[in-house]
Amino acid sequence: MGILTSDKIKEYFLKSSDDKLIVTPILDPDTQLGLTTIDLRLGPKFKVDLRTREPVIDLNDERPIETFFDHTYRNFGERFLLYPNQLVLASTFEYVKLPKDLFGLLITRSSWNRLGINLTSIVQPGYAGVLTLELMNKSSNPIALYVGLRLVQLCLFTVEGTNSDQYITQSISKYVAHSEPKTSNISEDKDIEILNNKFRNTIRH
Amino acid sequence: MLTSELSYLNGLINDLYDFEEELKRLSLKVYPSPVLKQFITKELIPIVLNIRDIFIKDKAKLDEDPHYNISAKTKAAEIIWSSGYLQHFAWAISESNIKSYPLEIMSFFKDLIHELDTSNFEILAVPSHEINFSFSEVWLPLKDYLEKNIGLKSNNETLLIKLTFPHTHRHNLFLSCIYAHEIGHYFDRRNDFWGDIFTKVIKDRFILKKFKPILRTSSDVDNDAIRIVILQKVLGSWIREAIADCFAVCLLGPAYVYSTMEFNIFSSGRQQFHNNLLMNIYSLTHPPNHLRNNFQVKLLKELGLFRVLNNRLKNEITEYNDQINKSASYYRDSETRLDLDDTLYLVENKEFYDVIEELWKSTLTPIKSRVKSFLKNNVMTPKQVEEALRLAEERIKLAVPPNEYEGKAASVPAILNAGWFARLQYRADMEKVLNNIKGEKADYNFLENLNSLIRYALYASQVHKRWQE
Repeated sequence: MGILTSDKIKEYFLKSSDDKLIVTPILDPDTQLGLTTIDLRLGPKFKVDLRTREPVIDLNDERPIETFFDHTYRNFGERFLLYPNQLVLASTFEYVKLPKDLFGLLITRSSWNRLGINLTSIVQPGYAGVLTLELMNKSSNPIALYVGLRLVQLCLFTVEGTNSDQYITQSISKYVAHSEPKTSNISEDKDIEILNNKFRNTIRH
Repeated sequence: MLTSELSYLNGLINDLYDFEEELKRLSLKVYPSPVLKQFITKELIPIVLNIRDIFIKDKAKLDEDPHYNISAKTKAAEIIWSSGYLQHFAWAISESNIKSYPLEIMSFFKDLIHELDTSNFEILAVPSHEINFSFSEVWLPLKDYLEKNIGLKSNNETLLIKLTFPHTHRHNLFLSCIYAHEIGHYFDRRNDFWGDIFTKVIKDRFILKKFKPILRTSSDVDNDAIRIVILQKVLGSWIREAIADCFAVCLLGPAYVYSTMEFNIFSSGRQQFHNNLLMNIYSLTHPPNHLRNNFQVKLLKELGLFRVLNNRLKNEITEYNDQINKSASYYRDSETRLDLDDTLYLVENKEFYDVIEELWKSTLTPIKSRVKSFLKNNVMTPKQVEEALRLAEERIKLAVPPNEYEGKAASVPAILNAGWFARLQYRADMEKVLNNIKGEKADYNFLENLNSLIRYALYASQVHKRWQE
């Protein structure tokens, strides 16, 4: 596994169909394409977590996780305030599609890290969609974000022993072709069903 | 408690105190538009205060003299209040919010209004529970009425456009091309295209004579009466629909034609569902579907937008066109009274509509030339259809949004058409790429995925375009 340099990234942009790396639109290639990273911008849609009468997010409850969030929107260039300790789901402005032989690591740009916003996320081979950003302000002051600012950077790695199926076609893939931030689909995990069937409902005292 | 002019005025005054409070609360939560907030505080609240003052003054006079005659100004002000216009205004503003807004498509139309009409406008997006679209300016009629009837002047020149759309279809871009038709109505009303075209057609006295035997009258009817009747009731409405259709075809090309076909599933399709019969209904307000579709397809061909489609996409249009042209025509054959004096009746029968149809067809050429010259370079081109074909094949088919074309922002008409082209051609390909197009929700999920890609593309391309400017 090796990290892709800007030359290699550009080569991937020029490949055909399934082998092609897509990051669209890159508004300012000179600024956004770094030596080993692609800077991505903050998108316009936000899902802000709510305090509700049902105090627990529990995978065994039927309540959809979406209902723990309120959604809002800002125009390009408009301000969004991120309060301390508030969870906000946003997304990249750019739509990303990785070929089956690339893996992505998404991290906040260091200048935002130093203000108290840091996130790390992985992007599976074959993923297609905007990238959801789990924003959390860890400083003690609200931080003004502006839609369209370069917020995160994507590092790309080649994958050894590539699977023949892409992430996008696998039955476990839950975050496909989305164009806005997506709340967690953790309740679709089969683990909770297995835990319930094999352990929780048959606890032996 | 007795019902009297005084008690009625008292009730009105109290209602207006309530309404003022409601507006103040509304001004605090109007979001996200500062323009609307300002409109409430600078326009609506002063109107309410003025109307209330008018009532209070007359109430004082009535208190002094029970025989006092209520002033014309107070009566005019009462009409404003009892018509519910102000209340409707407040309701529209309170219902308007970003969460129900068909944002991505409206940005395109906003840019169009900026370019062709004015930059001072605000859109109130009001969701409806019916499959109904409308787009109309609501402030100027009230402003004019206030000025003429109670002498209340306003310097606010910002247009307030009320957009009504079906809430459940707010993100359905396949239906949203219908907005282009509504925008056509808007431009028509602002520029009185239909009035000019109507006048030219109707000035021919020979044509007017054709109507005399058709109309049932209890006395002699002159040409002016016929002109007014036809203007108010039928031909005017038909011309307005043709203008709106012309706008939509010129702006969005095949995508609009496909959208009207989809829209008709909800109207004609419902009739067929219940009556097992597909009908072309002749009505006072709209030309029947087959005439409208024939006009749209003909225009599509004249603009060169049909010939660049492949056979699969052409067939979709021609098969539908054949189907509705073979459908049964339906005439109500009922009498409609056309004037208050009870002297003039219109019978909605084949004979009447044959004349209307002939007249309407004679307006189509001037309509096309008028609309095209108004839209200038916003008329869709064959090159944009070709762009759409490639966007569908090279991007949407692979689950990539069609926002970019040859390194530049794709055009909105191309994006919307690409969505339709992918829907009609690439479902099997997309099933291979996306994992959720299966089971009983397969069709729904397919359309959701497509809508998601197109919505994204509309937004991203518009940002991209502004960035590149």
